Amino acid sequence: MTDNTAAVAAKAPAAKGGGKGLTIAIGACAVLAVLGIILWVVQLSGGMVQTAMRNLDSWGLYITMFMFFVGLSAGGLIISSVPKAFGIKGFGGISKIAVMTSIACTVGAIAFVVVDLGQPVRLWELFAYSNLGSPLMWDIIVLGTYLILSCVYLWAMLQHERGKVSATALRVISVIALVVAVLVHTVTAWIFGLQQSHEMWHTALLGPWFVSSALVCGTGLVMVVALALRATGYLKLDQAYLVKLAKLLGAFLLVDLYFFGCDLLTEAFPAAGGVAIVEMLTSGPLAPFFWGEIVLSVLAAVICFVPSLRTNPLMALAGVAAILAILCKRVQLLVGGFQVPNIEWPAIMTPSTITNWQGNLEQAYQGMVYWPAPIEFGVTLGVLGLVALIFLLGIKMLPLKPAPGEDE
Amino acid sequence: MTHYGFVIDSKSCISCHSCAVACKVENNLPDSIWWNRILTDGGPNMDTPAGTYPNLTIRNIPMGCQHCENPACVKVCPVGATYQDPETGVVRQDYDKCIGCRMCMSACPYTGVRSFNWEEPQYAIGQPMGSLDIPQHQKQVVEKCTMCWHRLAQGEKPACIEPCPARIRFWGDFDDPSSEVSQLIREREYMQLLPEQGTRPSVYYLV
Amino acid sequence: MSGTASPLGGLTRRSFLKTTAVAGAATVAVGAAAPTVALAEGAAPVTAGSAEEQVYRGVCRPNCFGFCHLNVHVHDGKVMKTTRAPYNESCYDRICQRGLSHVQRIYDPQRLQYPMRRAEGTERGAGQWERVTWDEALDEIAGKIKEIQGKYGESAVAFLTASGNQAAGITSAYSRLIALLNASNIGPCLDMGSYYGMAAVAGNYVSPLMGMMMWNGNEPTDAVNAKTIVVWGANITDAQIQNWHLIKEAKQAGVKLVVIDPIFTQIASQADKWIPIRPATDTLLKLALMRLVIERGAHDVAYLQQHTVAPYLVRSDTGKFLRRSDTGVAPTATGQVDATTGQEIMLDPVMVLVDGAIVPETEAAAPAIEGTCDFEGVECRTAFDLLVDNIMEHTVEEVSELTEIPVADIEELADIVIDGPVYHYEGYGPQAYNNGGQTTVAGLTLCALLGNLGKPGASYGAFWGIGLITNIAAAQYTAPKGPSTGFNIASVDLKNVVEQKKFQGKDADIKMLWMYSANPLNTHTDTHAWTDVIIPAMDYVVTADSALTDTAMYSDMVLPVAQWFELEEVANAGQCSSYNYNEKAIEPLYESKADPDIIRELAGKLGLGEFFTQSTSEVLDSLFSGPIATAVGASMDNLRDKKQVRFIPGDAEKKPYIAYENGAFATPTGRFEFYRETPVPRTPTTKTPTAEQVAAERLPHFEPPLEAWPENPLYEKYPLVLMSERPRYRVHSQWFSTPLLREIDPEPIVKINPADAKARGIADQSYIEAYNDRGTAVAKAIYSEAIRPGTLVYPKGWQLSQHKGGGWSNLSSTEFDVWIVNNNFMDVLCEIRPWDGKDR
Repeated sequence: MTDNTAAVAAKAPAAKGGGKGLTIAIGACAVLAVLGIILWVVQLSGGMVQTAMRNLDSWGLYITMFMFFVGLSAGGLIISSVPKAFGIKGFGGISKIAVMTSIACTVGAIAFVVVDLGQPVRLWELFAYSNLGSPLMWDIIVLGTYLILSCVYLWAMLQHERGKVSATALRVISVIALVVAVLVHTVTAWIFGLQQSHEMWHTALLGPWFVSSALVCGTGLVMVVALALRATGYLKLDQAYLVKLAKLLGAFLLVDLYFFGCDLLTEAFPAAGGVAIVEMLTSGPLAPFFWGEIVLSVLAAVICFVPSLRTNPLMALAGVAAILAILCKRVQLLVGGFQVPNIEWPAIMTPSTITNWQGNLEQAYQGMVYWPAPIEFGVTLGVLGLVALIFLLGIKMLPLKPAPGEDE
Repeated sequence: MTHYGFVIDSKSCISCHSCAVACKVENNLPDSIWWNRILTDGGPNMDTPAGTYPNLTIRNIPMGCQHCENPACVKVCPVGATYQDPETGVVRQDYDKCIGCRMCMSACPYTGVRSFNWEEPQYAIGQPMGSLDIPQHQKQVVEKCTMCWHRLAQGEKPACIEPCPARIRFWGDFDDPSSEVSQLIREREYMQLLPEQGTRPSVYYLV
Repeated sequence: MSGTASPLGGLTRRSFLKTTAVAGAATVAVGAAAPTVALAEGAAPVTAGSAEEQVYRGVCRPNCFGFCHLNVHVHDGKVMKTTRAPYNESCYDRICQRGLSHVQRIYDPQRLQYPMRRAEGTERGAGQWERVTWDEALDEIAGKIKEIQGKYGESAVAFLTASGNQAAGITSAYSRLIALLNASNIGPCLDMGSYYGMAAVAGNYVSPLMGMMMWNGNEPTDAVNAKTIVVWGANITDAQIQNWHLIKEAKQAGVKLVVIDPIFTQIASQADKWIPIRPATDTLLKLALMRLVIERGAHDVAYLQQHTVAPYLVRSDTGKFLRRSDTGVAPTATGQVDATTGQEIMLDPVMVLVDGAIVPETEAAAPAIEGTCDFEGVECRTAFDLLVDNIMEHTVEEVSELTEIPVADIEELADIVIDGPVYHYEGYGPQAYNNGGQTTVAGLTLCALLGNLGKPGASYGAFWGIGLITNIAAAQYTAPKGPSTGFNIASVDLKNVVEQKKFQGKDADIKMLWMYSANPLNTHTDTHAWTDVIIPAMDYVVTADSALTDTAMYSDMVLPVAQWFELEEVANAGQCSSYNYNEKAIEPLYESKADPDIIRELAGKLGLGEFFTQSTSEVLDSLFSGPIATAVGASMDNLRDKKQVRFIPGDAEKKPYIAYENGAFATPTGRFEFYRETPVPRTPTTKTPTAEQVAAERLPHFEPPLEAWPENPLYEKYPLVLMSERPRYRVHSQWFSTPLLREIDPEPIVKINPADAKARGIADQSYIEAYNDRGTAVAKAIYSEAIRPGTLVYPKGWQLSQHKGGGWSNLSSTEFDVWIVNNNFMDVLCEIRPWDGKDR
């Protein structure tokens, strides 16, 4: 899977003249975004039959990326709001950049929901007919609130630097932002965690676990972005702050692995209903993503905790590894949720039934029940371009560099 | 109060698919779309038994929307396109409201009873069939068994009941103790699908 | 929700309001019809019978045996759907997945729309056509008929039919033309093993209401009166699904169900006992049962004495019955005349034994069923003794080995059949082998031994009747100048006639075929006999059908026929033994014409127009008219009124029809003839039975089938028995292109036992090629444990173009048994291999 950091690093040549490189990067991202929109229109006009999603596996890459980007967006905000909220030392003034990543990723998350909708023109109905009992509705509300709040927060930070917003006001906003950030993840988790229809999803742990995963990939993202921007000369950052971030990342990774282990044991121990899930993860079709997450998480944690390994390249690697590990987790959750059917009795199979419909039902579930179609990769790349575009535009047009002597 | 539901004598179902076809025709279902499917509780292929020759068993389970009393789908639809009719318990779908998010398809434990029109509805014979009263099918919304609401409105039973050659499908009001369906579940052993999910389906399978 | 269909599909302001109103508070409308819920307010529901929708009575008649009555719903001149219409007896209300799919058959994009001629310069079977007008087509056909009859004789033109379009109007129209042309008739050989066996020993029953029970037994509603229902090779739940609920209800009332079948069919899964049997050995099992019955002394002596030929003395020199005329007493006149021959019936009673004395049966109240005597130096034995000799030829252990059924199960089955009454439901599986006539003979004989016939709950047979009013009351209609002088050739014998150019001692040169209501290249055996021998020998081939079947593909002219609801008709057959009235619901689509109309127009061009002046409805009026028709309730007025009139006695629900009641059999002797003096082949063919065959055929006996027998050396090369099943999603090959059925059942498959598949490296759901010396067929292999190891089962009826290669009927043969003259669908050995992708 691609991620926006790689796109940014590739597009911005490590030359000193950040301005020209940045403009090229912005141009490239804009092109990607436009291509994505075109493909989305193709998807809408020719029908979502062009994707690989079908009735028995009705969510796919888009919702996976939605989860993933909600996670990425939390990290930045939490990184910057926790120090302010608690009035403690932060990470050397990269808060504004962190919040910018947050804003960009939130837009990405919302975009992924929109491209997944069958009738996006009816989006307005979400506000006209809202079913306030629906976790999806809650998530829309919270995500929307989060986006607005992130923008307000960034504005507040900028205004505070100009002396127009008081430190107390900023602190209040940062507390609210922190709470909403935690809420966004929890509520996103509830879209899955409250559904007893999928054994793999229905756990109380999912809420806290999404928060911890968000912290992992969010912190990883901030780390990678900070390293990249420092490498291009955009900002200066004391190594100590990076080490602090790395240690934090390491701690978050351990918490996430802890949740991971708890969930696995809980599914496996009774050797009853959860066995199918465990087998699917450890030795079945989702195994590459399962073991991938573990390996990547451990690798990142080791780098973060071993002082001699905390070199710039390795810390960047740790950040990327952490992000990819969480992406693996999202794939496990989304595809895994559909990989083990509740009712495995065969019936009519038509092209609408399931992605691999041409054999029998058992054969459809051998290998991954779902793998994205080319158009889904294309639209996804477009959204990634959009996310990078928003971030880079923020870098270009807003004073996001750490203020002199800023410590938070 | 009325609580409509089905009783299906799955002990005597022979998987002929008459009910599935009746539903398809009555509701002018687009190509590839089936609201009612007959599942084989047996071997890995449809209509094959479990076991090894000659010690074999097979059972057939027609499955469509279970019109649950505690429906998982109704809870999660963000725009209320899926809703439960308070008078009859029928779980209904408003195509005009559906935004195609497919949350209901994820929430429903009875995977496959809800279908999504992944493309513009195609019709093999190029013209409508079935009832004139059914709502138009729309691209990229979720659909499912409507319990033939348009027929209930005329005092008729759902289209899948009468054509069953095996005469194993029954429909009626579970709130009426003297109805045929109430009597059947009093007199005969039955099972329900995924009872542990607590959705309280309105479909009972006699065993 | 939008109420009546909005063409826009989106949310209009008006439907928005309707939606919220309905979602908010559903109202319950009060009224006579008491609808239980309300549609969106402002939307008037379209009710059946309103100005918006008309409902017509249709009869679905591919001859799956069901003859379901349908409501054909028409809106704006278009059929919208078909639903179940009632029989006058609610136990027979019926419809199925195919009857429900008619709307997609009528408007099938692949339906034939106009007459087509094979494009000049192209080969038959190449599928290149040019459109012609009806005038052109019929002019050409009429010209060909005259030319061919002029050159080769009248009998050179032949009409071939089966049962795809079973109705009186069409049958009569063709019969009339055939008779007037003195054309030949190529008759179907479908399920004739069973028919032959029944007719041979029990006779061909015609009811007082002019219904002929071609497959006779107690009405299926009688099964509930039995102690046990024994199903012999009948896949009821797939091939005769309308009878399933009657069996189900019998089971629910406490009747036991035993199923004897090589395959674990759905009906087998419902049985209290399933006996898996080696294919083609049913007769052996029945002989073993008969042996156990005799050994246990469980046979009904009184019944045998009174109603069967058991006591009849048989001359060992001629094999015929010893008659009074042998003693020198001349036959006496009875004063009665035989309706068929017009001759007076003479009485020449058979001799029997009473206390050792040989007396005429007319003077014997209780003749002995066992005994040997000497008549003028000729040893004579009772028919019963001869039967027992045959029965005792096989030990139960030997039968157990050959049928692969444990002795204990055979013994248990004997217990069951002895503890009567038992309703034996015969299917067509066991008779589809070359030894298939004897299975019915043996089954009926078993029941005759036990007296298990002619009483409620006691029955043996399949069940299908045909109403003969049109044959009898309107005999003049179908043969105005007398019957045709052309040949009557069995379809399985046609290849031989074409090759030998002789039939029954006369020169026979069949040069033109007109095929209707049939698809022999697909649904009969041995496609290559048709494509390689018969069709090439024809100067001209016409097919009248509504789809481009395999047979149509090999024709020179294809005529599109109207479908069932596009003309008024009476379907005069089925397992409910009724005349079934079909209303015209819509006009024939495109340029299609109803068969009787085609005949009428063609007749005009043949100079026979004076014989075809009536419209289809007028023809029906004259067919179903006259005092006899009125007396049996089959006048056209009554048919139009009642929609369905029974032609057998009794009442389906209150007093089901009982076959062979009071021991009456429509045989020459009037008795059950398990011994036949003069066995006669079902129909004359190019073969003649040898003296040995005649001798063997007199009594129930077992012979191995032609191919499907392990002792056959061919088994080394082709070890799998290839069996077909009557497919659930077609009737024979009709509905082969109906789109919604193809979604359930997309392509040719063959069901195989996983062990057999794995031994050949064949994966589940992979393509295989089945092959033998006669041909190949490619299909998808489906693992099924229901399939007996060593056998394969394929649902029949896929056109050649639907296979990736070959076709099922390539593998079977037209070898036929001289007595039953039957298609031996199952008597096929083959091997299979993974398909290499080549279309042979």
